[in-house]
Amino acid sequence: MRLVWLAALLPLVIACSPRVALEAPEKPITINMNVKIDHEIRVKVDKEIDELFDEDSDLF
Amino acid sequence: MALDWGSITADGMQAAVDVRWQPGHVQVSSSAPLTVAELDVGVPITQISLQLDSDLQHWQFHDIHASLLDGRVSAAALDWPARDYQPVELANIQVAQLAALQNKPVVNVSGRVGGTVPVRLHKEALSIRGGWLTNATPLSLSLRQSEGVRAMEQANQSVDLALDAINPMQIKVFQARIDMSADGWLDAAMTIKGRNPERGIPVVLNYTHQENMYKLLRSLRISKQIVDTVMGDIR
Repeated sequence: MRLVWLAALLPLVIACSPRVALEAPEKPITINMNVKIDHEIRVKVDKEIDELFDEDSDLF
Repeated sequence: MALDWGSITADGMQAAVDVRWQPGHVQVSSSAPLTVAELDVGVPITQISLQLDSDLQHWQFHDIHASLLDGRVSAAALDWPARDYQPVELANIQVAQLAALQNKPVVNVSGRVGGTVPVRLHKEALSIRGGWLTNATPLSLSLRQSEGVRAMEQANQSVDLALDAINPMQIKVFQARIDMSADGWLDAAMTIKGRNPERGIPVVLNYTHQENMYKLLRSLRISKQIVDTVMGDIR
């Protein structure tokens, strides 16, 4: 009798395979970003180019 | 004809004007479109065409057309100096060229935007009030692996997660509101809606950007001048 029950349950066990579903969220991720850029104009030059600027002092 | 105002240069200028003089009054009008091949304010504005009328105190420019950042700029009329804001239309501006204006760009972007920017020309300044831009094509955005991005990622975990969510991003909706005060401070607020295709997640990015445009353009002009001077001397 027990064997009959086991035989009857077997298809159910086989049919029940584990399933893990990873689904992307439908609700969007909201990101708030604030950027403020401060400019600092800094010129670093080699000695040779510095001499060149001295000759052309109107550059700045 | 070429002109140089400080470090702002204009090349390939052609004009045909009528000058009418009466005692105490001079009127200058263009008899054909005035054209400028290139105006370099830090960003090259090319193929400029406009008509003008002036009594040498007030200048009225009209039928203005030019190329900017691979797109087009046009305005029906601009007064200088002006009391009111006058609309300037922008079309098909390439955002890749806009982003490349930054000294150390932190993003790669592609696509085109357009919109209307109400501009007021002051005597020695320019201001913008209630400008808006939207995307003309789908846009894309990805972060460059730069020093700036690495520093932001390391700043804290939430910034790292936020940058991860938008890198990369395919953008369907881009809306920007733009204001700029006469001292050059740009105040831009953007809403960017899209999807991270690698993670399959929808993203809404609300981004505000403040930057002094006069200083940005000045630094761009100085950089270009240094390169031109050094290269000219080497030759």
